[in-house]
Amino acid sequence: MTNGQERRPVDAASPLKIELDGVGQDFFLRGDPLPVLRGVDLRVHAGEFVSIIGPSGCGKSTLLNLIAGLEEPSQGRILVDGRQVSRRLGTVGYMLQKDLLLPWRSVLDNALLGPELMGKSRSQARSSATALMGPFGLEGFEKSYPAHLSGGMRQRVAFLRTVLADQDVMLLDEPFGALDALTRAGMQEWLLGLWESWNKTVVLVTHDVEEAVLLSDRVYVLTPRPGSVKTAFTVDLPRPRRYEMVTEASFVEIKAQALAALREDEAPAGGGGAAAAAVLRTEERQ
Amino acid sequence: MSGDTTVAMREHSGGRASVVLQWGLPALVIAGAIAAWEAAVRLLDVERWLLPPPSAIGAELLSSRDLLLRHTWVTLGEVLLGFALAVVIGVAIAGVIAYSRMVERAVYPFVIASQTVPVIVIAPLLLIWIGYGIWPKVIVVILLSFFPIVVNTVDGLKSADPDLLRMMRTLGANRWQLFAKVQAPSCLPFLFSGLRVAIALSVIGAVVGEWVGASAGLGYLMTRSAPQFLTDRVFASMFILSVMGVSLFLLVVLTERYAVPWHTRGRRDEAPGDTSVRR
Repeated sequence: MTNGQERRPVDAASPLKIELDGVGQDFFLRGDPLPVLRGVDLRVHAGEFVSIIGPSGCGKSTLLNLIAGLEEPSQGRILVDGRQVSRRLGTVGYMLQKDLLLPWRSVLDNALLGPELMGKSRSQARSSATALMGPFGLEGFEKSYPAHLSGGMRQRVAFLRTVLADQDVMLLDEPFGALDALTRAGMQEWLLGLWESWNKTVVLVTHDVEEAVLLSDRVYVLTPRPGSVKTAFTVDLPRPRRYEMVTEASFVEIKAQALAALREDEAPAGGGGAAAAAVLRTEERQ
Repeated sequence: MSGDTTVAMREHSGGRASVVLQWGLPALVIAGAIAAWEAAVRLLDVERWLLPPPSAIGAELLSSRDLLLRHTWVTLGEVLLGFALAVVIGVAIAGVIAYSRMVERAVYPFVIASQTVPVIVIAPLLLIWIGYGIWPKVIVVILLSFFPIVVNTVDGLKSADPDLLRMMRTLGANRWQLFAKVQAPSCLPFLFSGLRVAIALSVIGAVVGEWVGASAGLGYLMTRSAPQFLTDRVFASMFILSVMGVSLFLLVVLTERYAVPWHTRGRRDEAPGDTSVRR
């Protein structure tokens, strides 16, 4: 992973890793179709860090579920490496919002789940896991059970598990959403350092505009439900990035643009809209 | 490990004072009850065949220990064999029920119906069909104890966090891996809840089976002793049965502690037990 090479700069010439063409998805509430996503077009280049932001309940998580292969779209198509694969499960790394560690497994055994499920050699996976314990701040906790770890550590174990599954693409669904602000800033910076040293394609879903701007090469803004791409913009900030950049003028300007795009047609609060969104969120959990 | 410490692990015993309170108080209550019993029987001059004093029961335990022990082994054998088979059958039925909604609808009614027919009605039938010997008793034990195992195991297999299963699927897990690595471990605490109930019912089942027709066992000994007004022997048998039931129950609890360490213990820094659940 940390092979010391400079990260390849990503541009329009880089090969496309993920393509979504007119993707739509419906949920069924008591038999009635409820559109969640409509005509989503999305391109992610190899090695690119892309964030998806949007109002609550706009189908961001559904989008990742579709890319991961947990769901199949009602309309449109999803291409990975230019091919429409019927079984994407197990080929795309996906870190869900909750850490979802297996409580009966030690930190090490949780981290090694990916290689284990793919039937890879345990000793080899084990040595790469041991090498990453330090950078992931988990050294000395290999044998601990998840119940004994802090929220931030549990999240890092979940992230290590995703990394060790060793897929080109990593989908991150609000990975820091459950953490307190301080831990969260630390984790963002840590992720930045980690990612900038290796070539992975990352799609991050977040409701935190600052997080999206700080981490990403490009940001997609979704409309309220049914979600579709409202606008996408490139984050022209130099890399490597540091957390302190959030106070710089260029950063603040981009953040303001993103916020404006997000809030432009935000539905007025209250009423049926919020209730429907709440129902939808619980549906998405299913 | 002495009995006191193993049982004490169950509570979050803070210090020496709380341990004394936890074990001293129950011991005191039990000793008081036995003393009151002894005193009441002596003071009121109750006939020994009506209600023997604890001292007489103790004397009977000593003087008839060979006889009692012989019948104890018979009953214990029935209990253990029946319980073991109930675990196998119960888990198998639960597995089938949990994996197919159709099978659940077809099989569950029979499982429940098996519990609505009183065992005391079935036992004589078993006698007619199978005759004397160990099997009618073992079957009664199975009939009583497989039910809590089935019900709890079905719940346990369905209890796996759906998000955990989704996470496993994104890592490419197949159905067997989902079962072996998530559903089975999630089920273990539920299974052990069922086993705790089942082991207690197993002892009752064996005695009921012997009651109806047997030539050996503590239940048989009681049915034979009561008409002869050997009341102290009946009580001695009951005492042994209680000890058997409590001991087997504690054995299940200890096994659970070893097999499900993440569930029964809040804090563990080392992980000597985790190989038991890893496949």
